Amino acid sequence: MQTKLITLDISLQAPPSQLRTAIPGSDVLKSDALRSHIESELTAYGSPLRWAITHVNSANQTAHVEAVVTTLT
Amino acid sequence: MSFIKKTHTTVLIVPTGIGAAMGGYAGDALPIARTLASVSDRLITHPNVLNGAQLYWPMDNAYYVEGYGLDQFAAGRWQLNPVHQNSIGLVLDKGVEDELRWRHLQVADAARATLGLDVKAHIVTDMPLGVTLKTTESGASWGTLANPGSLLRAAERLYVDAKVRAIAVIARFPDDEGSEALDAYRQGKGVDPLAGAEAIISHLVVRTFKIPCAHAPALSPLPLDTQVSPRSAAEEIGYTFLSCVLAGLSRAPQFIDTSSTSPSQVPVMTSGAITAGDVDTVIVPATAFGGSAVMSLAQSAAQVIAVGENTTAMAVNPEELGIQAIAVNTYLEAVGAIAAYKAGVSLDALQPHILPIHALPSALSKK
Repeated sequence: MQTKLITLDISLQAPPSQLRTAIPGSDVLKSDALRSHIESELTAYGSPLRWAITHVNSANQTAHVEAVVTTLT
Repeated sequence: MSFIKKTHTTVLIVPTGIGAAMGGYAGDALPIARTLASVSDRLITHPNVLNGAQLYWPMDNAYYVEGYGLDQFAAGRWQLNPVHQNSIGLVLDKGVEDELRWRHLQVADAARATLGLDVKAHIVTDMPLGVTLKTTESGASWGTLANPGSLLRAAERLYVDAKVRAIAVIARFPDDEGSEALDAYRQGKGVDPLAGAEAIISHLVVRTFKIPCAHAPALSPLPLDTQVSPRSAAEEIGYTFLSCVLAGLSRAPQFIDTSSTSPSQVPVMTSGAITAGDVDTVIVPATAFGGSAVMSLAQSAAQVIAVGENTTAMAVNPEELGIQAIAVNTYLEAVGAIAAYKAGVSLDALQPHILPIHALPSALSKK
């Protein structure tokens, strides 16, 4: 097992169905849905151990995430 | 007629390793925790809030929940099961020198003899853990381990052979005497350079074994510095940072993993267990809303309180994540907000000017 520090930018706009409420047509961002989406994106790099959004870029609607993940190799 | 009083639960979060002006140093959010515990029936918070090296303050209604466990709890995947006591095991990094190792073992024996804690066994890892400290461009401290498997093998021996139900890890951290980061930290400024790596160590154990864990770094004693800040002073008064960890772990709630329950099964509910749905209030520094726990709890807690004066190196405000928070400047105001909520008083009613009731546009008119 290895521990790795990674960074990535997550779009706050897409996919809307994952970041917003299940109510059709709603534009309300749900932070718990965003949390779930970030966890899902991190699994591409390993098993998420600790992560945080460190800043949000309002202009291009992205969240910058720093994370430590574990990998088997 | 009598009412059954609803239990009020507060979660206090001061993320570690981000230079929080209050709570970013040596257990210096403990006065905040003590105050909040006096206005809440239950206070849930994490080790770096409650750990002051040699100093700690036991509170019957405070729950010591490691950060990974807190994230799982907040996400609704785990519940917290209060306990009377936990048996504790010690994992000692093979990289810790003999004299430092003995200092830590003497703390464990002192906790047994003087506090009556059930510190059951210790084990030395089969390889040095190899802690590496890193600071990212955001200013947060992070860290990695060269040999995480060695940590988990040692923890497994304690869990399986000694049957402990909480684990304290003592890892050798690099000495950095004279570095700018350390000097700033001792003066109560900047980011704790150790905190991010400490979190990684305890997260690994909690994720794997689902039992309470906390970490105490092993470091060589520093030369006397008469300019040390009161916020950092708790880490200047002894050989180790272990006693607060043992005190916290001794009564930390156990975790109940409910995430594996299939839809066809009856959800697991242990009598007395605390769930994310029980949380009434969550309190976070106003610029640190980008963490997992607050992002989960913000949708369900009745009050989300953003504290402005607890500045951090982060730049994530609640509005940017769609979180409706009560903005206050101080923790004293946060205490007042809880008191008002418990009394059934709207915060608007405590302002000198009260606006007419707000009208929302209809959903159709927004299109």
